[in-house]
Amino acid sequence: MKMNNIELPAEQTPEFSSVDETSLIVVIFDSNPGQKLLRDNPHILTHCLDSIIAFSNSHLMQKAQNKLAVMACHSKKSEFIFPGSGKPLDVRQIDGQYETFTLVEKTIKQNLAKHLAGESPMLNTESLLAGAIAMALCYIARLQRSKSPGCMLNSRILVVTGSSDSAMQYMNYMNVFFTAQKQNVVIDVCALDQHLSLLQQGCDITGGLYLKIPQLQGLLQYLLWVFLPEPPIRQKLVLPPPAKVDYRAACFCHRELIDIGYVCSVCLSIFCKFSPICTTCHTVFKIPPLAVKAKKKKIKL
Amino acid sequence: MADNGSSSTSAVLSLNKFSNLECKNLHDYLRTRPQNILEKLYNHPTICLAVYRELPELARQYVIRILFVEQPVPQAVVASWGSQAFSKEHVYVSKVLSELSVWQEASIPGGLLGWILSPTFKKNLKITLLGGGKPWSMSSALDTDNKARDVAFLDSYSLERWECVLHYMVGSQQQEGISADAVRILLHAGLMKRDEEDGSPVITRQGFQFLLLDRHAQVWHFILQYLDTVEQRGLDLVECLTFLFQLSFSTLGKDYSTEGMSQGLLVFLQHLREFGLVYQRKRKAGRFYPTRLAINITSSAANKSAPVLDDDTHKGYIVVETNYRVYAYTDSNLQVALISLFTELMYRFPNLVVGVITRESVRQALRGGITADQIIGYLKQHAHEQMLQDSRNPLPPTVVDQIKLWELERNRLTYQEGVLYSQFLSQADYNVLKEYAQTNGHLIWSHKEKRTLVINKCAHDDVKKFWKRYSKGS
Amino acid sequence: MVNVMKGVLVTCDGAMKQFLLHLDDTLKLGRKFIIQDLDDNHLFISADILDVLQAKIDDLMDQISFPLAEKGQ
Repeated sequence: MKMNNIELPAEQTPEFSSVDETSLIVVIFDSNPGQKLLRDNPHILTHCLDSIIAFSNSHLMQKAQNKLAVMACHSKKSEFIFPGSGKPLDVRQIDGQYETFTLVEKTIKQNLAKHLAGESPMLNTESLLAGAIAMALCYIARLQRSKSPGCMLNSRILVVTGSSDSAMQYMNYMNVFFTAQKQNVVIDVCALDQHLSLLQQGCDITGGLYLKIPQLQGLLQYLLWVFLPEPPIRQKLVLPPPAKVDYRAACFCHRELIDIGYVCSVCLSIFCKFSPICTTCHTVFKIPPLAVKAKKKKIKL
Repeated sequence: MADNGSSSTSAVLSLNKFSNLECKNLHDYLRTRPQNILEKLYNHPTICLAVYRELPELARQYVIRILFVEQPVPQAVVASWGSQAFSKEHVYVSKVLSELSVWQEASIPGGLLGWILSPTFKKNLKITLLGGGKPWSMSSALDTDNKARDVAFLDSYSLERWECVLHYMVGSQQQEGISADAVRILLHAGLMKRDEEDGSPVITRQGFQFLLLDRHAQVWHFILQYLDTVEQRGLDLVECLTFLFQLSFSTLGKDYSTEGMSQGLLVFLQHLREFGLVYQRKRKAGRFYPTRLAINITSSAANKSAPVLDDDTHKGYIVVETNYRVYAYTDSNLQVALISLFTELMYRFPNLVVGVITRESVRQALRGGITADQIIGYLKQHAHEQMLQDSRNPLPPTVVDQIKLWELERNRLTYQEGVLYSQFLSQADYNVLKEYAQTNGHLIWSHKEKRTLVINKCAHDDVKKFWKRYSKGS
Repeated sequence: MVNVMKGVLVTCDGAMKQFLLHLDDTLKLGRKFIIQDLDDNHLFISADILDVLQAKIDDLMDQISFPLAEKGQ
């Protein structure tokens, strides 16, 4: 029996650190009909879309204050398909699904259909993923600025794509990766079809997760397992270990990944072949004294 | 001498019992419900969603991972999902999930034990997420309201209604009174009590603690107390809870239909209307608007008023300086009354009150049963936007620490009523008695060399009997 | 034979214990109240002195605290 002034060590639930933060996720869905995966079998698009919608709703289900944005990325432009522009749809609860989730599902489907209809059919170019990530970063930055003081927001970007990353966008990729790193935005990448070495670098730089899914059928389950936990609680879970990252850079002259190259000593531009004038900063270099050759000659003599 | 002592201390005890406001969150509330009610509740997708959101975060991950899995998952596999360093948390989380019967133990061919989600819970959580069930009771189609209300209107309406209750509690004359029903709930909750002389309700200690809570927690606590009395009113608890949760997952600024609601629910709706959880133009309007008070009502108690990202109506009015001065930009009597619970007021202007936090004023509050955390929580919650620039500590750390120290200095001594046993003849006797008391959990203090032990007072008779039996036997 | 006494077990820090011993020695509360000195952090005292003791300790706390904030100008 205890008397007053005694702080009863009451039966407390153990204080485990838990995040009270609002978690924002921007999903970038590569819906470019030109990617190989979709050219082979267009029905995959619906499958992926359903998985992404279910995943997005699961994210909203985690916490009442969680936020969501979904983007569609194409070869010509990227667009926000949730929250869509203009007035939100008027949805009524019809089949027991939480109203907010119905709204998400309807909006995404409607906007994506609009987006795809406006696309000229046979365009076989790559998706502008770097551009889409940049847009997502802008969106996050805007929310960060407009949030009420005292409110914590952790943001991340999830890229779901079946196209391959080309070194064409190397510079753009690096710019967005380092911006994201600076803004504390985590980039996660879920590769549906091909291994993406550049985006993998992005995940590594920003502390995100990269997963090339082995089976497209189980897409939703992979998304829920690996990408649903928000960054602060990832340390508590066992998630796929980071693979060795291919950190090769692309040269500025031919946009090809190289192991060894020439670097401009002034602006750090990378070239696969020696050029007397740096194309980026126009510094003039002397032709290197071919020391190796000179040596060889000596030996011959 | 000893008898006198016990009588005086029991008086202290009874005082203590009433002094603290017990605040339950959804989890605690459900855990104390009987099993059959829980099972009934899980038949409603909204409740499953509410329960899901209140789970610890690790538990949420576990549930979502096995949501689409049909067979039981071996317990060892589930354990391997969490990293080693957090194994304690895993154990705790598994316990919570079992307690709420979200998952059950199931055996797997091969003799392993596994976890499987409760079928009702699983089915209904899936419905929430993906649809495919029956529509909610309040979602009948409505033609558009020609006098539709916007969010700003709803906010000011709900604020006014709720403040009405609070104003009534502190007895300020600023607003109109509240219904007899609401008063009954306040009395039932122990937030107010009848004055011994004239029978008019006056605020209690818990009432003051209640006022210091944030708005969400207030509403939740109040509604819980209301739900306690629901069955006496002839309403169905499950029905009301379901409706409450539907309300909490509705959209702010939208109207909903009352069509097809039972008589009991309509009564419930009228009560909610009085406290400002819903807005109805007329009693028979056929439609209602949920307000911010009702939205996400369940998420209140657990995460301490995590501010919502956008359109949040955060209006802080308190500035605390490192010199212990408190400036409150308010003209509400209620807020001034609350501030004066733990500050010494100095000046009062039309829109500003200035006070100072002193040792005496804080001790006064502590004596009134308010805890340091409640004071700090209140200041933090209503901190002025200027204070929130540094979002990690909106209040000066010196002031926060000092308030805590003032609380601690009251607790430098702890007292436990007990019985002292000493002068044992042999070490063996001492050991036997100590063993006995220890296994029964009655031992509070013992010293081997001095052969002395102190035993919980309530266990004295029991220990005495044991000792008699023992000494006869030897 | 075992000696049995009812009372209150007080748990406190060393400084507070010395203060209690001092109160006991100098009969500040009118009489002796410590039944047994158990160890560095524990005392066994008679239960009926509790209220007086608490008041006395409050007094002590008042004496050793200084006003932190300046009221007035």
